[in-house]
Amino acid sequence: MNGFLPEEFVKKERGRVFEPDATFARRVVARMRPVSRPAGLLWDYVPSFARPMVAASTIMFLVLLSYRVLSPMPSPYSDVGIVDAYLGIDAVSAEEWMYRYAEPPEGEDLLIEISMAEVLQ
Amino acid sequence: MELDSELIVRAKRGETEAQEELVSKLAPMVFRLGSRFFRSREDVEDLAQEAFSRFFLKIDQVRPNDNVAGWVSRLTVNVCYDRLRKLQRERLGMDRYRAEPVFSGGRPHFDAYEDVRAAVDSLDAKLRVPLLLKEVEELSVKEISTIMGISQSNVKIRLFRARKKLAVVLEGRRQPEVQRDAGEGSRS
Repeated sequence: MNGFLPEEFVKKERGRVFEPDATFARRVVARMRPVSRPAGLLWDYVPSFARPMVAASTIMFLVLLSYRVLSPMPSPYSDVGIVDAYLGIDAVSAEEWMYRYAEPPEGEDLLIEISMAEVLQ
Repeated sequence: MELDSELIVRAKRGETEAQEELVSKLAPMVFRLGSRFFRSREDVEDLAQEAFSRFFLKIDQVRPNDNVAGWVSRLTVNVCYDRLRKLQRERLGMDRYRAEPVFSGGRPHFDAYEDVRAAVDSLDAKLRVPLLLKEVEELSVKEISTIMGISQSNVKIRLFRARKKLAVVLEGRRQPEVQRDAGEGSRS
C-alpha cells in the first residue's frame, strides 16, 4: 500500500502511460510556427534597457498631440469662404459689410451708401 | 531532468531543430503527467500540444539555468487542471438531462480498479490533481505546491479533503456488495 489508494489501482495507473509517437515533436513545432510572434516589429529593435524611456517619451508625445488637437484654438484662417473672398475683391467699401458677415450699418446711411455705390458703378 | 543550456538558448533563438529536440526530451514527462488525468490518447496528446504551445509562447522569459523541466511540468498540470474543470462544468450541465439508471435485475459487479478510478474521477479537479500527484506520481507536498502554485498547507488541506471524500464514495460503492455477500453467506 503506497498510501491511501489501493495498491492495485496505483500499480495499474502507473502502467497506464501514453508515449509520444516519433513525429510528435515535429508536429508540435510545425503547429507553433503560425502562432509565433511576427519578427521585425519596430519595438523588437529597441534595446530592452531603452524601452521604458521610449515608452515614456511616446506617451508624453501622444498626450501633447492630443492636447493640441482637442483644445480649442483660434483659427489662423479667415471665416470667409472661397467664393466670398473672390467676389469681395471687387466690392466697394460700402458693400464690404456684405462679404464680412458683419451687421449692416444702421439708419438712412445704409440706403445712401448703397445708392451712391450704384451711381458710381 | 537536466537540459543542456545551449539547447535552450538555441530554442529561444527560434532554431527549429533545437525546439524539436527540446520537445522530444520533455514530451515523455508531459505525456506521463497527462496520462494521470486523462484516459484517451487523443486527450493526452491534445493537452501536451497545448502545454508546449504555452511553453514556447513564454520561452523568452526562460533563462538557460532555469529548471525548464519543472516549468513545463507546471504548465502541463495547469493545462490538465483547466481542462478537468471545463469537463466538470460540461458534465454538470449534461447531468440535468441524463435519464435515471434503470435497474436491470442483474448482480452489480464491483471492480476494484474501475470503481476506484470512477470514484477518483468523481472528485473535484482541485482535489483530484493533488491526490493523483501525491499517490500515483509520488511527488512531495512541496513539489505539488510548486507545480500547482499554491501553499504547502493548502496542498495538505486538499489532500485531506480528497481522501475523506474518496473514502465516503468508495464506502458507498462497496456497501451493497458487502450486504449481498453477507446475505448469500447466511442462505448457504
